[in-house]
Amino acid sequence: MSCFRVSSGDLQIGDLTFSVRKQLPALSTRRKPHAWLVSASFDLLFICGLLPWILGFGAYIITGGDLNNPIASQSQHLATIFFVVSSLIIGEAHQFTSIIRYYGAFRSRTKAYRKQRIPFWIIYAFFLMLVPIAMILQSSWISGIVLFIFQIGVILFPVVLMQHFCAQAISIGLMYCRKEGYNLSRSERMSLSAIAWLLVGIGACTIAVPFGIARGPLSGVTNSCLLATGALSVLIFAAHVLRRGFVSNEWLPAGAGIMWANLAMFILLPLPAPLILYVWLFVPVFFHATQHWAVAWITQQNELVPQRNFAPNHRRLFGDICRLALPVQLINLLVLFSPLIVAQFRPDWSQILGGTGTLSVFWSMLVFYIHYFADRIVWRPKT
Amino acid sequence: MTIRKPFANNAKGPLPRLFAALAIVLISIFVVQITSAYAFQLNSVELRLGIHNERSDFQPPKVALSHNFLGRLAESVSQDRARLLWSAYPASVRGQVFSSMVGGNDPLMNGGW
Repeated sequence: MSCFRVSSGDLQIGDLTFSVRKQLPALSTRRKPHAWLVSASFDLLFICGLLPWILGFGAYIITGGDLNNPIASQSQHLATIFFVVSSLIIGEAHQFTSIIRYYGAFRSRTKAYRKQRIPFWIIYAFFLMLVPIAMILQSSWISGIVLFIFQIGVILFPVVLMQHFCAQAISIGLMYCRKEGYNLSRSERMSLSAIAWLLVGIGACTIAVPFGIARGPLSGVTNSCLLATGALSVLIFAAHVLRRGFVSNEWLPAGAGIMWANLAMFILLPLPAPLILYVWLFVPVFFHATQHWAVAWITQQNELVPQRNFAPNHRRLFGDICRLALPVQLINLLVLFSPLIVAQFRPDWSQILGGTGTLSVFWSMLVFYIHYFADRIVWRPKT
Repeated sequence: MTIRKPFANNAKGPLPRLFAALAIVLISIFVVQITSAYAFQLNSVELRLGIHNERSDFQPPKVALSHNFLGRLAESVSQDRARLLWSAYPASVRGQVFSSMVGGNDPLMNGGW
């Protein structure tokens, strides 16, 4: 009876022995998993926050640093058109990636996410029940509830925006850590979370003050103490990470390190370093929104590759970009400029949505809040 | 019977391409419209779009967008850094462009929107 036995690269079948060439590479020569989310250059520019520095420097050069010059040159015109159009196409559209996913692919999941969807039910109830009832019944206490909820949403809007901004950067940094197998201990995670909330608090007192408060609520000295505390916390965490690198040879992934450093600088520097305002003009679009687009792209690719059983190639790349971007852009522009469309049929209804041809601040905030709550669940892995 | 969604992975036939072409045309119209609108002045935008045709009290905006938009935005933000995040927020930029209110003022307080 013949038997099969493989040892030391030889295949033995019965009395015959064949030399077998090893097909699998040695473990030590295997390629390390891709450390970046998209690619090194894309991540450094669009996710980690280097592009806002470059564009901010460019804007400073183009405007000549003379803010009082009222007449724009041709280069200033072009820079502004670039700024405005990218704000619309990249910045505002990023909100609809998560909204479309929430009302689309996310619905096919088996997990219900009931707790996380409670805010949606509150929003639905607000618009479908409370507002119509308050308008029909002219009830003062129902109107009071509507007004109260609306005011809370409006007043806290900048703070929620700041929390969203920080939380996204921290989460994507953790994605880098997971990709490179850099495990954060429980205390490290708690420290990171505490620093993130401290940054949110500092932001809420300095550059994202709630609406209705004319200026920052704290005095100059208190603000300086807050900034010093924030900077000290960030430096202590950075020192710990470096120490871990030197002692255990476990280095924080470059993407996470650069991004978290930029996040801290974007929040801590505007008060002591006024020139960072030029950089800040590009932060929402080329730091926050591009991060979001990158996550949407990676999620789409991760879901498509198992279905296709092969990696995407250049031919499919364009199709995939269109599949991701076109529906988002279409809905983005249709929603944001819905007052223009509605005005063609019912000018009075158009005034409700916004008086200048685009959505008013109220409806824009609603879009943001839906995006904010959807964003917390829709990018989670299926398993 | 299976119903193919326009952007389903296995969708074939003319419908996905037709939908994509339609989307590209619509987006292009929007982008060209907005870009060209900005390149001139806001009052001409509003007149061409016909938003204020019914308004007899309509006055052309005082701040023409041909002025130094980025400079004015940075100047306003530097005067009130408490609004830095909101002022650079894309929805705020859109509102400032379309309402001709350049700067980081609180839109709810000053009626910029």
